[in-house]
Amino acid sequence: MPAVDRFLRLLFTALAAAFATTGLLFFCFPDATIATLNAAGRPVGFPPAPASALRFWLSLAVAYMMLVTLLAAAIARDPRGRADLMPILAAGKATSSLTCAGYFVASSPAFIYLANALVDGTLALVVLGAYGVVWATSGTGGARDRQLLQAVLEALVPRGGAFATGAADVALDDALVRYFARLHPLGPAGLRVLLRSLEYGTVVFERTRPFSRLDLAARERALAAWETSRLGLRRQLVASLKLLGLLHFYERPETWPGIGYDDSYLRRKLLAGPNAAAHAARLGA
Amino acid sequence: MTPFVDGATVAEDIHEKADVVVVGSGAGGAVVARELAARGKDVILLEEGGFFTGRDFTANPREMIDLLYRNRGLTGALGRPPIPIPLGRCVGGTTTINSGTCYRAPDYVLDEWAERHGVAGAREPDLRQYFERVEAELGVRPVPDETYGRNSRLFERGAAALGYDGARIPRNERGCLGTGVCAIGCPQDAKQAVHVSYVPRAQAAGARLYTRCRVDRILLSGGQAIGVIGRFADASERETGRELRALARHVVVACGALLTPPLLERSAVPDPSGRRGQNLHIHPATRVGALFDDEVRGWEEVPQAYNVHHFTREGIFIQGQFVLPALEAPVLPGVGAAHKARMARYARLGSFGALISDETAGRVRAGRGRWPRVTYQLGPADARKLARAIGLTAEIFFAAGAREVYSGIHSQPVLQNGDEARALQQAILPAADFEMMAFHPQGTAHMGEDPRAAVTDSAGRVHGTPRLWVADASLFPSSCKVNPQITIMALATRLAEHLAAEL
Repeated sequence: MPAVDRFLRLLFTALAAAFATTGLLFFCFPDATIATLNAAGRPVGFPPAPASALRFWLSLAVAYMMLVTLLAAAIARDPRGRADLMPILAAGKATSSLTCAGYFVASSPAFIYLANALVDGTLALVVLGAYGVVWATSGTGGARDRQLLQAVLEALVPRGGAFATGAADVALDDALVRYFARLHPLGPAGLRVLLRSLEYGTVVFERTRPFSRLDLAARERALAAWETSRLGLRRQLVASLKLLGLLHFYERPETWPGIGYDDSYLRRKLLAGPNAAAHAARLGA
Repeated sequence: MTPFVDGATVAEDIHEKADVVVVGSGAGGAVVARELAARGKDVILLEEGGFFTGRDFTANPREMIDLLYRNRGLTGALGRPPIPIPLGRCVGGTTTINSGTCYRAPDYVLDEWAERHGVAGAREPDLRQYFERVEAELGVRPVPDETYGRNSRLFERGAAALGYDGARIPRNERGCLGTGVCAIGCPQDAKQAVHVSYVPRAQAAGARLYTRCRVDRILLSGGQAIGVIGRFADASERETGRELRALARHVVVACGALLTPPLLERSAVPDPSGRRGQNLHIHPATRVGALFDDEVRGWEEVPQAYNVHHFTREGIFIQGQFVLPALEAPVLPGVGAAHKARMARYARLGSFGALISDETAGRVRAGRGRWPRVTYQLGPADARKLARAIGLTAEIFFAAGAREVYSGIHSQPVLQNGDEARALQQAILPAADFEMMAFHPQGTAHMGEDPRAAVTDSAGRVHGTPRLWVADASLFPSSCKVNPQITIMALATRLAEHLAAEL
């Protein structure tokens, strides 16, 4: 099982155990739970949360904890197959966090509200992060990824202009997909994240449509803007794209006539030295 | 090729014993192995990468980066911006992929090491014999006319017009044909990288070489180094499950400035000075391109043939660096049709590198995986120096007749004339504005007699751990201000002398 999947299973198993334990504590020791949290906040100056003998809200709380426990346990059994449950779990945690934050601000600055807002808010982000990991590492190299990659590479090295050959003429997308696959087990995920960053980055930074839906000239302008952006991450993204894309493009002999380069000098030198026989065999000379 | 043990073929765990085990077959390790073996000592030399020679070098940049560079060239330091630091991972280490430039550390640098850092016996008169021996072994000589081409000649003309002193670069080569692909392995074995010079000579003298063997840990007993444990890997760098346990009377670590401190750290080697892993200097560099009216055809010569040494004491050196299209294209500014228009003029491009001797000190620590945590943040003074270095390089190109110059600076990627180049020399720019690389990591286990201030003594013995030595650029107490290979090798030659006397 890949390390990522092992990690996801472990994460959601741990969450299920934590939720079950917390739900049990709520059910068995509701007043002690409140008292403990009040005591924790008192030294720092937080006022106590109001006590209540009403158990209606407690029964709903226990039911909620049962639900999140079962969700986490179900995800733990098959994180990828049940990834659709992750946003639901995250929504529950986010709701809990935001409502407590609201009570902390608008009702009473009790420590219990703040603690729950922070803890459940963090858990919501963790679960969403796990969802992002599943998304990034699932089904990479699919049609959508390939479409984005071709759109980016076409903008990087379009057909025509100073010379005819462009990215599409040398199957540059295939070369990059193979490169990322060889680079690291998470290489395809990295490529997906890079492409999606550019795809939706233009919406955020250029306030235009997603990158792949722009015409070629607009895509080139977008890349150029990213290359000279004051934001280092945007520049780094384009620099990485240029490094890998142009390395693979200009290694192809069919691109050389357009740039005034030919390898006749190099071949002459390879076939002249002490290793000439080995190079001749490799070059078919 | 003298037989060696390729770790990918090892079927059972190996237990070895020797006088000395040397970890790393680069500039330092190969020299130590050869010098000790030649004195009749029993030496084991361990290398993490594979063993390749000119017959394996195809001159295809992508293929050779995959074959010879650590992590496919994707190694570097974190910071704003992150800085790529390419390293070799093969027998010969980074000497296999460097440009063969051979300069001795200047006298004033060696004097500074003695006076400010307490290094004994390493001034120029002390090291002269070792420099001379290494240079003789490697056939170091200035680039001859046959392989000195138009990229270098134009730049030399520009420097002369401005009154900036320079000279042809002394290189370690025998029979160089000017193939022009030094940085991706010399296909002729003309560049005397240590995998074709010192390593075979070490083997001929009896040293045993193991490749594809990554040393995990230095073995310690009673506070002394007694050997190493290494794991074998296949050609895809996957561990085979087989291990080497080599016991030795002395252990020499020569993994380079980015990998030696983490190995010491992982092995729980004491660090009395607390300085291990600090003091990282890297010689940040930018490639500066220039467009000329006429063809330059910079690929038809030795890529790094001319050096402007006028500013070396200031901490600036400017050296040729012309590369094949696949490596040149990413550093030209622009994308899309604009970039294609620039690349269409590739035959009219010149290219030189502007490097600085940095005052900035970065840090290296052991990471969770194979690559260490390397952090480096270029300081303001070095940023000003780099801007000045680029400005000087551009000024020289314009004096040579360039039409426009590509600076490697994001806010000013294209310079149009000498005035802009001169203005750049005074510019104050943030570090993140530069598109940098670095090729000379050094200083992270630096030498000095005071164990409270240095990691090793002046000979390379690790303070506080008897029988453990360091023999690479980690030893440099400060930036050596020039390409470090020859100085590494001279110090390694001296180290071997000291070590042999203890055997």
